[in-house]
Amino acid sequence: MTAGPDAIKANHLLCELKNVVKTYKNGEIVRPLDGVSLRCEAGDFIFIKGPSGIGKSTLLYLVGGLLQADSGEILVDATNLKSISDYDLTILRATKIGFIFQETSLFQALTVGENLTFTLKIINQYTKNKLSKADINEKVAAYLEKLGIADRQDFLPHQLSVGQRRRLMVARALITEPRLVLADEPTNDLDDFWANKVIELLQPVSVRGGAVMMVAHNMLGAERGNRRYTLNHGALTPQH
Amino acid sequence: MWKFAWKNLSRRKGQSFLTILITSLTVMVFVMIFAFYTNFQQGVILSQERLGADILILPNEASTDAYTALYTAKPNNIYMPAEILDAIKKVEGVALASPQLFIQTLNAGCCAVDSETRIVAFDMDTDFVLQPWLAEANLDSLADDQIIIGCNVPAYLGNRVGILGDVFRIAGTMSPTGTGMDETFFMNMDVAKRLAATNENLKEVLPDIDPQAVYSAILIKVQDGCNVADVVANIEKADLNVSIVATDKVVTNMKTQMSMIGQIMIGLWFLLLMVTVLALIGRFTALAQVRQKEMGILRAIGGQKSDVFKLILFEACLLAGIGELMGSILGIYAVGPLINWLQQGFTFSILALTPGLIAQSLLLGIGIAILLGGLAALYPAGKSARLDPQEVIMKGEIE
Repeated sequence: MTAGPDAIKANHLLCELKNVVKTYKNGEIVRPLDGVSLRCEAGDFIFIKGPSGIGKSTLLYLVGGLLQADSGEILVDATNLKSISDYDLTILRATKIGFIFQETSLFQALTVGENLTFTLKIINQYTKNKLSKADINEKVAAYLEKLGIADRQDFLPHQLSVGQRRRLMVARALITEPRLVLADEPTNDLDDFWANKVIELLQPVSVRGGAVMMVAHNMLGAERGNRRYTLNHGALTPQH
Repeated sequence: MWKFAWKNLSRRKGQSFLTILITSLTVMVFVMIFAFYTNFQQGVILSQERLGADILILPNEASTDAYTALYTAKPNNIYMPAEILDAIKKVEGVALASPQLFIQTLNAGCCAVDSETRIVAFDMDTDFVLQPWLAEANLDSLADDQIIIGCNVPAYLGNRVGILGDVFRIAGTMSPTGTGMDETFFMNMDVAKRLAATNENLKEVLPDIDPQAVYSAILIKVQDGCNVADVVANIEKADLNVSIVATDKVVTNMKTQMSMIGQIMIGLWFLLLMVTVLALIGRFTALAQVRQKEMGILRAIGGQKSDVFKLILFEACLLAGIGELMGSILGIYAVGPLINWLQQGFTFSILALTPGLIAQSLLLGIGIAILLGGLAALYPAGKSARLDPQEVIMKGEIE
């Protein structure tokens, strides 16, 4: 690792994609990203729209180091993802990136509260200023309250509604206070109230010097983005 | 990670139960085999140590079986002329020779021994086999109305027992020997001869036998420094028309037979172990497969490959540990009835389970469980750790 989370200052470059190409060979060859370049600076709320299956998730997974590009460069916090070990990449993901996955992705044997506690404990092993048990509990309670699922703290994920699960995934991504939030259709399954609430909760990430990269198939939340793009035929087109 | 592993297991009870069941059964079978085999071996060794005699002389009859004579309590009414004792005493290398006479109880009515049980009458003046047991019971000699009973003979009417119409006081109970002595009555030679001569019912069982002129066995102790085989050869030279059995040979034969049975048991158990390991590999692999996405999420939020590996391994160890505990307890409980059942059907020397053996079985059970869990979990744990997180998260999710 070349720098800690505190090294990223506001208005500095948080991540950059340089001419990134990604191809899937599954029977036929599909190229969702064909020479995509994008700069994401601290304070950005980037909104990317596109029809389903066009490659929006692929873009986020590439930025998060969960997928490798065929060609081009991806830099996060000035670190080329191709040049670091799997161990360091894991630490980078843990300490700087928050994922909101499109599909339900929770630990099914952990309660709502435990899903968040466990995430903080994982992060704790990489940070110098470790959170105490009381700090963790306080944070978990606060985020559950923010997402309106405080009364479901001891429920298992399968006992929640689809919308409540979505909110739990949002809470898990935000509770670590990452610099870069990668949100893949974060408002799916949510009613209007909670969809707007989730977008509201993402906003402070960019305000405090981080950045949000959100993809969606509709325009909900697009108005919050300071930069808007459309992904189509492997290319990002700016929208005004 | 231990806590996470434990929650994964305790909140997926159905999946965990099957795995625990497989482990429990394997450990249970192992504990039963181990406890039974070890116990039997100890019984044989103890028999040898406590038998006291180097050579056993039995009548040279086709039906005479040294093994039965030594290890079982079955009535064995075999006889040879009493003069043979004098001839034996003269054989070079014989230090001590003591005769025994076998008679038996009969099916009788109330307040008496109601099954056919062997009675061994011994000569107080020459005996060297039972003397240590008498000393242990603080007895110098047996009165005519006294008997000693083997440790497995139940007491009748308090400390009295009716045998062939006479009532005897129980002077003492022998310590366990693991042989037929444990189910035998021991009495004075003169008393036994009187009973055999006067009891009409017993006369019917022993027709044409003059109890005053016969013995059933002669136990020999060889002189210090003498080779047992040499003394056996000397007795053979005397041409006494008897069956000569070196007791260590009987024990050696027993050990050999037991060793063969043990090898078969261990071989079968090893096959069972292999089958179980394969079943558990399949089980853990399937579980890891089902939870691939969770492993991907763990990697995505900051879990290292080693965390995934540890998680699968911890879960396997916990399952195996619980299976071990249950299997060991079940095995220990099941081996007691098994031993009792085998004792009824076979002429084995088997002792009661000791706390030491139980502890030994439990410890070995833990070792087996770690082996099972570790072996079976290594492959799925390694495979899960090597998976790229995006592969498993994005399955069915990629746009």
